[in-house]
Order: sequence, then C-alpha cells, then structure tokens
Amino acid sequence: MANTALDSKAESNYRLFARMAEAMAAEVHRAGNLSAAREKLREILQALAPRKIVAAPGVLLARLAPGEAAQEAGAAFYTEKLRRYAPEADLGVSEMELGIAETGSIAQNATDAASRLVSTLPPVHLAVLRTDTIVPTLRDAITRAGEGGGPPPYWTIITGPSRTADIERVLTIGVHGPYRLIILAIDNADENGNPNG
Amino acid sequence: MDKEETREKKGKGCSPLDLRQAIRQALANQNLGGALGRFADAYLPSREKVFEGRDFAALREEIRRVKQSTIDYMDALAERFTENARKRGAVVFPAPDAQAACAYILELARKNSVDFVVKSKSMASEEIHLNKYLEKAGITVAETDLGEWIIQLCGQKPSHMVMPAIHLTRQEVAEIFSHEIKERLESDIPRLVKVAREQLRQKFLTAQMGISGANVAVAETGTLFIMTNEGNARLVTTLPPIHVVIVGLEKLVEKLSDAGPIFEALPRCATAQHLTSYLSLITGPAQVENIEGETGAKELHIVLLDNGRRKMAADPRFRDALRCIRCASCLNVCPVFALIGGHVFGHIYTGGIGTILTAFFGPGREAEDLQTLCLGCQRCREYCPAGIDIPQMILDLRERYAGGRLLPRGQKLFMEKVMPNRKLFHTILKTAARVQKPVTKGRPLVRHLPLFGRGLTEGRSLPALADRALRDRLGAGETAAGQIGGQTIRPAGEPVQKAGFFAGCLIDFVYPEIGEAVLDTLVCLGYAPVFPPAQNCCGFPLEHSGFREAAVELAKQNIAAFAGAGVSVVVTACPTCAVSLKKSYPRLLGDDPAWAKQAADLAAKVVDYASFALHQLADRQIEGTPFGPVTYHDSCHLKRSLGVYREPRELLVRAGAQLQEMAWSDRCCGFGGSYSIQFPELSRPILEQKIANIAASGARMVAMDCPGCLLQIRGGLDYRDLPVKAEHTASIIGDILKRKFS
Ligand code: SF4
Ligand code: SF4
Repeated sequence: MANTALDSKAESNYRLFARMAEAMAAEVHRAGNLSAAREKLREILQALAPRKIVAAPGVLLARLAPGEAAQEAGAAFYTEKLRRYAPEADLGVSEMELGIAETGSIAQNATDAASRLVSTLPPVHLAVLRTDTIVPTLRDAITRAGEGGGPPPYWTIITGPSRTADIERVLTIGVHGPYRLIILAIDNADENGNPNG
Repeated sequence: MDKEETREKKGKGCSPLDLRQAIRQALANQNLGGALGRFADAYLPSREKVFEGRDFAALREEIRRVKQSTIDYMDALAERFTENARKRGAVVFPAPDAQAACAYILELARKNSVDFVVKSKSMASEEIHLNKYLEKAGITVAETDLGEWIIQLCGQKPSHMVMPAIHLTRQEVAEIFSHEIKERLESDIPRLVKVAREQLRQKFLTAQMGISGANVAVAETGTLFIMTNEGNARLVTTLPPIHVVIVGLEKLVEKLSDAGPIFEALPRCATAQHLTSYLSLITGPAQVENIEGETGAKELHIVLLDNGRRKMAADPRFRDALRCIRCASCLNVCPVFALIGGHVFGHIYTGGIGTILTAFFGPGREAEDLQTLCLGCQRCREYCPAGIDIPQMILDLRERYAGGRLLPRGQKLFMEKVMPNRKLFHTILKTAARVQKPVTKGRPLVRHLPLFGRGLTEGRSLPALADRALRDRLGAGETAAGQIGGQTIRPAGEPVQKAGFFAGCLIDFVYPEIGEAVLDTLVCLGYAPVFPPAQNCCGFPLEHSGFREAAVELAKQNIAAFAGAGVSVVVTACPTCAVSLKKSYPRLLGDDPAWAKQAADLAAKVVDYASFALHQLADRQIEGTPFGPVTYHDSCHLKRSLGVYREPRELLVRAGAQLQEMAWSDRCCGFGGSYSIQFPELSRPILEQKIANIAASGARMVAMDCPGCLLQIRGGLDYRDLPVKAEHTASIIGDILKRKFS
C-alpha cells in the first residue's frame, strides 16, 4: 500500500501548520512516503549545493539515507565531531518529534548536543518530521514535553529561522541561528509505505 | 547616557532639574521620538492581528491566576523548584540580593578559570549589575542579543525592555560597529546584522561560560523556559560547558502547564508574534560536546534571585506587580514613553511597571522621580496581559514618596491646606475670578484651580474662571430645580425623583454652562436636580499628587454633602470626579469603620452623564435636527476606568450627529490634571497629536465627556485657530432637550 491518506484532523493540522510556518519564513515541503521524501531531499540538496553537511542521528532521518543524497550532491557529510564541523557546515539536518499547527513550529528533545549543534550553527537547517505528529497548539506541545516523568534536559521549539528587529525595528532574518529553515513533512514514513514496516 | 551616569554616581534619585534636563534631551532626540512614535502607531494593529480569534480577557485571567499563586506561595514554590531542579542535577543558589548573586557567579567563574563569558538577554542580570561586577574582576562579558550588544559596545543602557536599542538609528549602529571592527561600514541593516553574526560567532565558540535569564521556572519539574528570536540563547546554553541561569523568584510557576498561557501572551504582546523563533525548556544539565567530539553533562547553575521580591510579595499594595511577564505592552502603549523612551522613563526596568519594579529591586531612589512621569491615563492597564493596575501602584508610590515633589511650593501648600477648607478655597476662586481680566490668548488665567500652578503650559489657550460660578448661579437654596416649561419625558403624574449633581471644580468654576446643561437634562428627564452646595473638589488631583490625607478629608466632605440629600442617583459630567467618587472613596475610606459604608453607598449611586442620559432615554429618540460631522474624543477615565465609550456616541447619534471617528480616539489628550502643569513639555506634544487627529477626521465639532479634556483640547484648537468646535456631550444634549421641552 502506498501513501496512506492522513485522517482529516491530521490533514487540517498540517494545513494550518504549513500556512503558519510559511508566514514565519520557513520553507515547507511535503512528501507522501519515504521514496518521495528521498526524492525531495535530493532536490533540496541539489538546489542548495552545500559543501559540508552535518546531521544529528535519528531513526526517521536514517530512513532517508541523507548520507547517500549528500554524496550524490558532492557534499562532505558528518554525523560525528559536530562541535568541530558544524561551525563550518553549510547545512545542518535533523529530525523533529512534533509540529505545532497554530504557530507553525517544530519541536524536539534536544538533549543530545548534536541535535542543537546542527540546528544552530549552520546557515541552513533542514528539519524532517512526520506529518501525523503535528499537534494543534503550543499548550499541547508543552504537555508532550512533560510526558513520561517530566521534560528531558533540553526540549526545543523552533519557529521559522533566526530573526531580529533590533536595528530600527526592521525585521532581518538570520542572526545567530540559521538564515533558512526548510521543513520536510512526511505523511507515511514507514519503509515501503507499509504501515507496519 | 550622561544622565544615567550622573544618576548612578549619586546612587539615589536625581533632582527634578536633572529629570527636566533629561526630558528636554530626549524630546530633542529626533531618532528616539521618530522610532518610538512609529512603533506606537504600528504596535496595536499588529498586536490585534496576532490576537485574532483569541479571548484576551480570558487569557489575562488565566495568567493572573497563575501568577497570583506565584505571589501567594512564593516560598513554597521556591523550595519545590530547588528540590526538583537539584534532583535533575542542577545546582541551585538562592540569592537574597544582588551582591550575593554576583559573588556566587564570580566565585564559580574563578573556580573554573573562566575569563570569557557570553550572555543572552537577562533583565535580572542587569538589575544586579553583573557585567560590571565580573568585568571589575577581570572577566570579559559579551552580550549576544544584538540590541544588547550594540548597547554594550557604545556603553549605553537599554531604552526598552524588549527592544533595548530602539533609540539608535542604523547610521549610529554602523558607526558603533565600524569602530568595533575597525572597518568603515555602510548603514545597511542586513549587512550590519551579518557583521554582528560573524563577530559574535567567535565569542560563542570560545566562551567558557554562558549566562542567561529565564522567562518561567516550573516548580514541579525544575524546568526553565527561555525564549529568544535571534537564537543567541540556544548558543549560550549549548556551546560553553557551564550554563548559569539568573531567575527572579517572580518567574516561578507551579506546573508545567502554567507556562501555556504565559507563552501564549508573551510573544503576541511583546513583538506581535505568534511565537518567537526559539523557545527552550531546560530541565537539569543537557549534554555538551567539546571540540574533540567528547560528550558529557553540562554544569547547570541556577541563581534564584530575591533582591526585593519577597519584600514586594509581602506588600499588599505592590505585590501584584510581581505578576509582570515583561512583555512591555505597557511601554508600547504609554503616551509618555512614546515621547521620551526608557532612558528617561525608567531605570533598568522601564516605563510605568519599570518605575514600580525599580522601587523594590534597586537600592537607589530612582523611582521617586520616575513616578512623577506617569500621567495616569490608564492605557497600560488595558493592555497588560497580567492585569496589573500600574497607574494605581504609581499613585501609591507617589503617596509613599510624599508626593508633589515637582510642584511649586505655593501650590503644594494650596493643595494640602487650602483646598480641604472649602470656604477658603472657594473664596479665593471667586476673588480670582474678579481680578483676572482681561482674557488674552495663551495667558495663564485659571491658576487658582487645584490643577493649575504658576508654570502654565504654552501651546494651548486657557479659559478664564467664570464670572459667576455654578454654585452662585443656582442661588443659595439647598435644592435648585431648574424649571423648563414643566414638561418632561415622563408621563404626567409619575412621582418625581431627586437626582444629585456633583459638579467638580472645573464645571463649577470654569464651565458652569456645562453644569447648567446637566441640570437641564435632569429636569427634561423628569428628575428634580439637587446640588448640595457643601460639595467640594472631588480630591482626585490631591490623591494624584500624593496628598492622601487631604484627599481623604475631601472625600468625607463630599460624602457628607450628599448624605442627607435624599437622592437615588448622583450624576457627574466629569469622568475624573466619577472615578474619584466611585472608586477612590471606597478605597480611601475602606478601612475606616465610620465612613466605609457611606463611601460605598455614595459610590453605588454615582453615574456619568452619558450613561445616565442614555439609560433614561431608553429607546426614545431625541430627534435633534441633524448637525454636521462630529468626532468623539474618549477621555481616559471615562473609557478605561469606567468602561464607557459606546454611550456618549449613541447619545450623539440619536441627537442627529453624524459620527466621524478620528484616528486613535482613545489616546490621551495630555491633560492629566496637574500633569500638564508639571510637565508642559510632555503634555504639549501629546496634545498636538490629538489635535492633528481631530483635524484629520474632517469633523467640524469634537465632542467629549470630560471638562479637563475640553480645557486641553479647546485650548489646543483655539491656539492653532482651527475652525473646529470642542463641546462637552452634556452641552450638546442638554441644549437639544431643553429646546424640545420648553
Ligand atoms: S497610566 Fe498612562 S502615562 Fe501612566 S504608565 Fe500607564 S500608560 Fe503611561
Ligand atoms: S506590567 Fe503588564 S504589560 Fe507591562 S511588561 Fe508587565 S506584564 Fe507586560
């Protein structure tokens, strides 16, 4: 079975999520299944033409085989010693645990240093998440952060790229964090499109 | 900046002269005025947009509840937070004051051989002057929030709680950066931001310690919430192996879910965003990685800061200020802040709320001067997501500082000693009325009213005292029922009730014709008006100048004046008097068993003119002849303190007015009672904006319900020779009713 459709609630969550995220200057892509997602990833890397990519490990991300895509795009790909490589990388890739519809945000347990290094230091951050993890509200996300005996040491909610309006109140994108935030939402992230796979 | 230094050196309030000079400088600074003015205009529409579909009142109530328990259970929450944060591996240091907090952090730095620290924005750290403390000990501290860094580079102080460098132009920033990197930079904002990124990136990567504040601290989990847009807090908390968080006790909440309403409101209020770019929850030490790729747990130190907060929590008049979530809404809507910014109106914490916090969190007496700057327009109260009554607290502060400091001596004496003696006060007024002529444009003529001293403002013409005060026009009798034809809106034979009229000084002595219009209205509405001659000034100007005792004395006089009058209702055409009678009296006399009940009784009877008239008319039409376009000015006290703004408009429309709203109809006119006397330099530009908005509305008449606003606005229009008439609603309606029924 390919491309199981999302239920209508998840679909409307996604719609709002995408609209809000774009309003916050994030770029949002959507893929129906893993192979479409791999294809999307390849396209994104082709367009970005990064020289160095740093990635934080993750189950979902592994299924996209980002290392292969990086190789195809001719980029060096690092998943270790990120404190060393992330400052020079052109792109950081990581996976998110959930999205927030009302604010267009993405969130993750960022306890591992790697997950923060790849999403703070490079100028572009590519985040992948499962479409069906999008929750309606910020409050839902805060509740989720606390599930299972309290929040993990570091939980991060990201909304659009880094920004400032500190000089003459003129909005400028990209200060200390990424200039660009690219979100890739995957509807069915199971191997072979098999819900049990 | 110079002024800040002067203040700092003296370690106490600056003299009124310094304050005046600072105001003058701020007003002369075109950038500041331009930036703040543009922001004030843009802020509300964008804020409204992000609140679309949300119930602000409900959200405010939620925040109020959450933060109220912060205040009520501060110690218990601190204990639980400490326990839970420790359980998760954090080191918690309870700091009683600034000195202890600074010393702890310095000691920690020394122990770890730290000589370079990066900081993300933290007001608490500014409050304790941490940078200076560490730098004196040879430790370099780099601010990393762009605005804070700019401020740090040029050695200034933040001028706004959320936008610290709002007073600087891009050209100035370019200059500051050029100096820093020793390269000539163009004043191109994206380029400047890029320079900041490059410069600060190196600092993030090499710092050995990161210091941040926190927006919320959750007791049940030991979690800290940190919010930023630039991403600097993420780097400060990620790269260096040691992270120090300075968090005030007022940031504590009980449960994780308590943070929900706060973060729903904070970004929407602060920057009109649905959410800032980054919101991080830190619970115990996270992982840190070194350049070799080795990972380990960070060191997390939490400095839980008291520094006056417990004292504030124990103070019934000021404790509510601890609900503040530092969103700066109150600054963004404050007409005074929009003119002079936070360097003058503020110390570390800025604006109205800053004044209150400064009074408790700082050792100095800066707040003593700052409190004089609030003109009591109530605007901040309406927009505060924590429901804090800032103007009331400023009033309390004023009283505490034995107010009237900036008032001329003579006027002080007049307020404290003469006004509570009604006979003397009124004799002086009447004598003044006789000797004041001739009236000339722009000349101070009503100087003997409580609101007017010698230093009268330019920029508006002032009216003369009336030849005959209202009280004299009405004759000597206890009751004076004006007779108009004998007809009223009521069916003949219905028993006539008595309605009291409280005039207030301005109507009694300057605008008696408004008083007559109110009396005419009462008669036409079928009431027998009663004007007890023993009534005196409502006392509001005294309370607002910090003379609480004199205000209490006046409250008693007025309560007594109406006590035996047998009236079911007390109408007033001055919203300030209405607020005083309705709200201040029960507060001033609430603890006095001999007066509390009487104060409450009077308060319950008081109603403003427009609400009363509209209610009495019910669905009857007034059928006035249509008159041209009219615009309406909302008086601060009527709209914000009494919640009345629909009623006068409807009255006017029913009377045949074609309502043509001006922009910002509910922005203050700058009168503010004695404020326009104390700070003519601030009152005047506020009036100018108002006049410009009135003129732009295209209306030929501006109606309002406050004699104070009338004095200010009529004077402003006249001074500029604008062909727009300013009228009190009562004059318009009373006239029409009178013609109809006579
Ligand atoms: S009452 Fe008006 S003048 Fe005073 S702080 Fe609030 S907004 Fe500013
Ligand atoms: S007093 Fe209210 S409006 Fe002002 S900063 Fe605090 S929470 Fe915001």
